[in-house]
Amino acid sequence: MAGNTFQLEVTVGSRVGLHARPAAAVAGAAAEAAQRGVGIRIAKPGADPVDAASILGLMSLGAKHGDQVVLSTDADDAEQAEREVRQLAELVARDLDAPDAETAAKQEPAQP
Amino acid sequence: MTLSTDTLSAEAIRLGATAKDRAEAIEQCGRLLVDLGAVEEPYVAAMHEREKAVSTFVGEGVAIPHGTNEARQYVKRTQLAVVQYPDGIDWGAGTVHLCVAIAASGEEHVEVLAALSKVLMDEQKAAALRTATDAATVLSLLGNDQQEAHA
Repeated sequence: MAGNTFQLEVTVGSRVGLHARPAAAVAGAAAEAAQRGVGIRIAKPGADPVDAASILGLMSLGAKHGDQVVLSTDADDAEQAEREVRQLAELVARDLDAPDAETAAKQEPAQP
Repeated sequence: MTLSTDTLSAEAIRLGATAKDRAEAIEQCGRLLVDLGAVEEPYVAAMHEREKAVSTFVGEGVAIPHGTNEARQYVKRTQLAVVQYPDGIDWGAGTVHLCVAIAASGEEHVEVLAALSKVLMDEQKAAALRTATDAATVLSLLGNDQQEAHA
C-alpha cells in the first residue's frame, strides 16, 4: 500500500488566502473525502504536509492568494485518489471568498 | 511574522472570563481590542458579521474572532487579544474555552493566523492555553513556538 502517492500542485485562488471561509470550505471538503477513504494532505512546496481536513492545519500554511500548495494522498484506490485530489484542487484554486462561494462554505467546519 | 510582544502583551490577556453566549464573548473580545487601541469601534460590529458568515471555531476548544475583510480599514495596528472562558461557551461546532481575537490588516492577517495555528496544532500547548491561570503562561506558550518555528 505504500508507494502509491498521488500529488498535485495548485495555486491558491482565494483573494484572502487559505483562512476563514476558504479554509472552512476546503477543510469540509477534505473531511468528506477522508470519509470516503481518501485522506488528503496539503503543504507548501518542500515543507511538511498537514491534514487538509484541519482548519488549523490549513491556516498554519500561511498560504496567500497566488501561492503554490501541494495536495497529496496515499489512498489505496489510485483512481479514486486522483479524482478526490483533483476535486479538492479545484476548490483550492477557486476564489472561495467570492459571493457565489457562499453555499460551498455554509457547512460547519470540520474538526481538526 | 512572529507573535511578538508587540502583537500580544499581558494587558491583552483576560483569564477566567464569563459570557452567556457566543455573541457576548465576541463583544468582549471586540471591546478589548478597542480598549487596547488596536481597532476603531466599527470593527466590533464587523467581528459579529464575520462570525455570522462563517464560524471562527478552529477546533481544540479555540475560536479566533476577527473582522471582515472590508473592516480592515478600522485596524490601527496588528494585535492579538486572548480571552479565556473556563466554563466554556457553546460555539455551534464545539465548546470554546479560549478566544483569540485578531486585529490585523492586509496580508499580515494570514501570517498572524499561521503563527497562531502552529501553536494551537500542538494539543498540549492548546490544552495549557485553555487552562492557564496567569498571563505569563499564555505569553510564553504563544511565544515559545516562534523560536522553534524560526530555528
